[in-house]
Amino acid sequence: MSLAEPVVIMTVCGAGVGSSLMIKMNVDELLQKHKIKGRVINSDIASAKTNTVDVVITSEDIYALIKSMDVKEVVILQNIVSMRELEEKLLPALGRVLGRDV
Amino acid sequence: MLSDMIGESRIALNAPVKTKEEAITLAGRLLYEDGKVELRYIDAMLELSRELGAYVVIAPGFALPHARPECGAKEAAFSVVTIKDGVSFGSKSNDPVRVVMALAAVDNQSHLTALSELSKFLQEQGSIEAIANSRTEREVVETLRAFEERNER
Repeated sequence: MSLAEPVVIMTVCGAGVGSSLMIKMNVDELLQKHKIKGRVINSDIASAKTNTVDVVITSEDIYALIKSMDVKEVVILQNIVSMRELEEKLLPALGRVLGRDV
Repeated sequence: MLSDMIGESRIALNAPVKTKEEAITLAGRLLYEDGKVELRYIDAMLELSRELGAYVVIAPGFALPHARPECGAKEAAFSVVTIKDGVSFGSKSNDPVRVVMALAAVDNQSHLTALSELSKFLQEQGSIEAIANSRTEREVVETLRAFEERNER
């Protein structure tokens, strides 16, 4: 993929208005901090299954239900609000998608 | 502001609940009795909890049950239930849950700020314990207000 295209990240939770939103906010902050161009969408399970994105971020329970998603990288969070955990897991995943160090 | 969305009347401390269903039902009733959700919203939260397991446990000891807005949410609000010894929600890494905060959201936006504040609050060391150990409803609201003030600076 070209370096100019934003990476598409989807956060998923059960109802689409709770955890997925909280993760999205942290991801937005992280992308800004590391100057990475990305489009972040939060979604519930039903909508998640019909989308093709680069990275999916969710919890273990939810992931079990959306395994069939067409996605390059999957990030599973144990602590949904932890910026530290997000950084530890998402940055390497983004690096792999973009083919460079982030 | 997060603390504005939590009324003292929607807080139940040291609730005698033994299961996650009881905890979610109580948290839901607190929202319902204050007119923030319809009765069916409680069922919707329980349903999601049955289907999706421990997904509501978003941080160690802390659960955020909620359902889709169209399932009967009337006004954006939170309720708080604390459980002295915690209750199992079936989460591999975050059980037992001592603080349950039910969320009623009416759309994708109105509760955004509150969620963002909640997210930051939960990342602070000892914040969940502070709520779990609160002895009065006012203490819960004060803890949140103090956090908000710290962050405004």
